[in-house]
Amino acid sequence: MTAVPSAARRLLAALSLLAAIASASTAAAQASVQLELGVGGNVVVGAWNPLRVVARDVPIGSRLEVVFDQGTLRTGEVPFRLSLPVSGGPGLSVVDHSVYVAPFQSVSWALLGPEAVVASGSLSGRDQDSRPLDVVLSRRSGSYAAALGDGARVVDVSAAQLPLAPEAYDGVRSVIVDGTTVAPRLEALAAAAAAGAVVVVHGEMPASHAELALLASTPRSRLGAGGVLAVTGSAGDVAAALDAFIATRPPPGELVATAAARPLVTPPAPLRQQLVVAAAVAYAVLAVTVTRLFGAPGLLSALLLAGLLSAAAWLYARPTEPQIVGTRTVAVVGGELALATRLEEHYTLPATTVAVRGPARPLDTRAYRVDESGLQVDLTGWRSVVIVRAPELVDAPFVLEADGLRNLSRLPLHDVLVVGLGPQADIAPGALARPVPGEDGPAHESYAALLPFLPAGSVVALSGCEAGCTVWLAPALLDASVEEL
Amino acid sequence: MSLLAAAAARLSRQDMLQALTALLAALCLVLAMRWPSGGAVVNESWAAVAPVRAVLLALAALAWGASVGARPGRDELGESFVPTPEEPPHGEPAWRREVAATLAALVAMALVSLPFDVLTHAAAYPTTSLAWSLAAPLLATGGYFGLGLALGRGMRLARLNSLLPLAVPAVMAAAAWLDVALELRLLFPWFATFAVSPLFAGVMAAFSLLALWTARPVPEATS
Repeated sequence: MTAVPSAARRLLAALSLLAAIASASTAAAQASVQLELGVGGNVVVGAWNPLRVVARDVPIGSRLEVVFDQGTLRTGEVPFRLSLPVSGGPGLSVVDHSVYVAPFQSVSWALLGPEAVVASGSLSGRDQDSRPLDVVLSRRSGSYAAALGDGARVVDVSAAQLPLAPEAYDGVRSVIVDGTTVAPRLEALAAAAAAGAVVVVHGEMPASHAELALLASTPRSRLGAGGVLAVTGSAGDVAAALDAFIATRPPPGELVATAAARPLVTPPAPLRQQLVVAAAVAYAVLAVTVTRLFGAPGLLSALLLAGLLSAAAWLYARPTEPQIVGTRTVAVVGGELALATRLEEHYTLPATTVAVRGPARPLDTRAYRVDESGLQVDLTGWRSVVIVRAPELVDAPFVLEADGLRNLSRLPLHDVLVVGLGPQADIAPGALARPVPGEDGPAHESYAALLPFLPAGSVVALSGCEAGCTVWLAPALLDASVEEL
Repeated sequence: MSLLAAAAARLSRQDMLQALTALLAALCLVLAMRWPSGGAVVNESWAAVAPVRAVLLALAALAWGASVGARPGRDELGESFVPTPEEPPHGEPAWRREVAATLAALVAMALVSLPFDVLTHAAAYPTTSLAWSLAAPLLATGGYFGLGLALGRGMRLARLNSLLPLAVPAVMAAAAWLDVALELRLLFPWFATFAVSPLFAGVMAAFSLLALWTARPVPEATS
């Protein structure tokens, strides 16, 4: 046995110390994952909600898998599977996404590393609420909660928690800012207003909130599907102004549901049954007869006839396309912006997987998948699915000028209607048209069902109907002018 | 006599002519029942017509294969026995010609019933390709004819000819059971019609080769 030299012993001790330090630092760098669904963690069922994942020190190439079970006791499991990449690596990895949350039984999530589950969690079905949010950025949120009443769902969030994507405000009714907290980002408030929320700037703003004047320069202005109100007075005045504005605003969810109620595609009509059966019987009788009576020439004739009939059947009975897609867009105009929601009906003849790029959801409750490339829905043959794309902001195609409506778009506006005045003439690109009382008549079928949601003075127009109509709705655009006329 | 003439002659005999009539009548009936009527637009007629056609052709092929395969040989009939032209003794050149004519007649039945498959495939737009939809019944016809020849011969050698009418549907039922049990598209044409199955194609091609080998022409024995 030989003694270990002292130098070697020192080296071994140093190596052991290094290993201990490395082990301690690995423990300190243990992965952590936080998942937040909804604005400030408040989920609105039946609306698009922001999803934010903040992961620390997770393996490179991790994926977030979220499963929403949208089933009921009667239907069983109806999963919506969301799968998103998380970059991973040392430090923070943040994933922001918008998801449509339908009524659900449960939500479970897991962050999957290349080799193992890094973290997981769940959300109970009891935590769901379909009431829209009244988001308050104030130190006096209690007064707003009292003023807005028991039915309101007032939530207190910090300015940093406001999302920037317009669709994330789908479930938000109002955003109230009174200048007593950190100033929110102007882009977040603009996105909220354009997406259909009512941004209320209450009282005098401090210097830190000066840029809000860009949005709230007038007491009441429309922007996209929502608006901005500058209110002075008490919290009760805020509630009253909010209710008055919302009364003139068409309900976005019902607009989409009504627009989707009418089929967007017409399936191909099959050949008439009587014709097909008569032709089949005639062919069968002829084939048997010629085979029986004429021997080899008869059989040859029957085979040739079979070939000809097959070719004819292929030519005349085959639908031209395996999949038919019909679209319709409903856009709510306010100011210089419009919030457009595109509906797509995919009717497929063979069984297939419908894939749609970008954020989208099926209109009805069904199993589907979403990943970074978009949405996928499995369809059996001869079935259709209506896909609702997440609302997006586009330029308003027309504005109200002193002399009338000006078409700012590159497409002509046709079937123009002013609620309370009647049909108007088409407006060419760049042209100006003064609204005049028109003759009453049946409204265009593309928007007839939407008219009950619109107050007097609303302007409705169509464009781009060659490739799927866009229905432009400007609620109460001419409210004062209509009364004058 | 050409193969076409032999097939036409075989098909003109009462047994096969009635089978052809029954096959076409069955397909007309299924077509009438499954083609959309009234305001309906959903056309799923192929999902009924194609498997029914494939199974009926396979059943016919199995039955005639077993019938031809179970013919008694010359050694059983005796040298002095004079058979009818329709029923030559097993193994003789005339029997091989009978095998070839019957197989050709069955293939003709498959081709004559082809427009039903093409029409419903065109209108129903199934996921299955037209090529497979047409190939599967043809493969089933050849394969089940070969299987029938083997079945008939086996029953004859086992002296169980009297059970042949039971054995034919039993084999079809066993094929269906096996596919269900193994969860494979291996033998039963009904399941194989719906999706391309290399296993089914392989097995049917092997039995078809057996049938073709049996039907090969051999020179007449000279005495």
